[in-house]
Amino acid sequence: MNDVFAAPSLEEAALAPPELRSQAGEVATGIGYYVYGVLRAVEPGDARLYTWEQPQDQAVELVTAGGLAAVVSQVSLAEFGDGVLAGNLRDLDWVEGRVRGHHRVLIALLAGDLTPVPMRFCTLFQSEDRVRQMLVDHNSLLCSALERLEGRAEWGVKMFCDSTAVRRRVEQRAEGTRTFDGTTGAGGPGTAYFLRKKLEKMLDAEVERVTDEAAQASHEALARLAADAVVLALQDQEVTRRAERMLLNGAYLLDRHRLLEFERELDRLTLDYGPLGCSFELTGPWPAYNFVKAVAAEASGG
Amino acid sequence: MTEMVAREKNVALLDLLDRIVTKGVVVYGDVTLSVADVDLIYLGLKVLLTSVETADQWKRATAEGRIGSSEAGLPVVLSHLL
Repeated sequence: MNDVFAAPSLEEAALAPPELRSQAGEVATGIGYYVYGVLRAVEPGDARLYTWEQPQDQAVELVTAGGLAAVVSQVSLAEFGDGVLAGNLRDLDWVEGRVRGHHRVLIALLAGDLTPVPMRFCTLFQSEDRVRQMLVDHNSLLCSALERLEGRAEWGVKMFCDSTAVRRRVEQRAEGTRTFDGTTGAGGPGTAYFLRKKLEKMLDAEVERVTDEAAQASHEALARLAADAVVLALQDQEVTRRAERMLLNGAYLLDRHRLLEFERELDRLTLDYGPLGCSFELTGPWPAYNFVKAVAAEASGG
Repeated sequence: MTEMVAREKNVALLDLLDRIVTKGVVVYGDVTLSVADVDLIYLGLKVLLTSVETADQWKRATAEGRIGSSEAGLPVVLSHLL
């Protein structure tokens, strides 16, 4: 184990949460190596390794091979091993704790000006040798990812709209229709009802068109400043439990020095679309989860 | 915890899961999440976010072992809780 970080002592390992040590009296069945991400191998004296604050409760180490360094923690197979993991995945508190822990490590690396290629949740190996083997087997994929990501981070932008506000705005714009109040006219009450329904439908379609356009234009403006951009699935209102509807859920791979420009663009978009009833939310920096190939070809060794 | 704080926390968790659980490099470690595992996590989260009541049902069901293996368990959970 390359101990460029403060080597985790046995005392620290003993501080691990109780469930790490044993489950219902079972004896821990061994140690696994949980890989958070991969860095370009750094010299042991590299100043960047000392600028980031390691999470107190997660001892993190480097395993190096092939010019790369895997950022790993030793974990107990009593928690992550075959059979046990499946059960833990049903425990939302466990999942949340572990997901946040995974994120904390990668964010600390980003904050330390290092560029991690993020691994998927619960990527585990049985030994340091198996981790090294992975670094060698997937060397070209990992190196090309690092090249693309160097000096960059992912940022998320969500755009929301207050549908009622947009509708009011659209009604105001449709000046020609405002004189029609639905009660008068030569056609009598039946015709008025029919016309009112027709008008409602037209307004609905117009609201849809206006918000689609706003989302599309916003995404294009933001993507122009990014090295890469991707539109993610919208989160439905049932889950976000917000009154506003989500119009855009975008991820943007940004050079570090362009963040200020990106934020200014968001301010400009807010000026443009705010009066319409739209708002923006910026999240990040994220490890570049959305800008790495999701699946590597399976190594020949299995 | 106020409803507002709980909501913010859950949405942040949703953002995290969207990235960490479904994205990121998969290198086929000695342990790797399966598609069924990911579905299970999402289903649980959705239950949690949708209402406190169903979240409690979910917790009871997992505690009582009514949710079996992920393959067999998913339809059971779906029909009982959603």
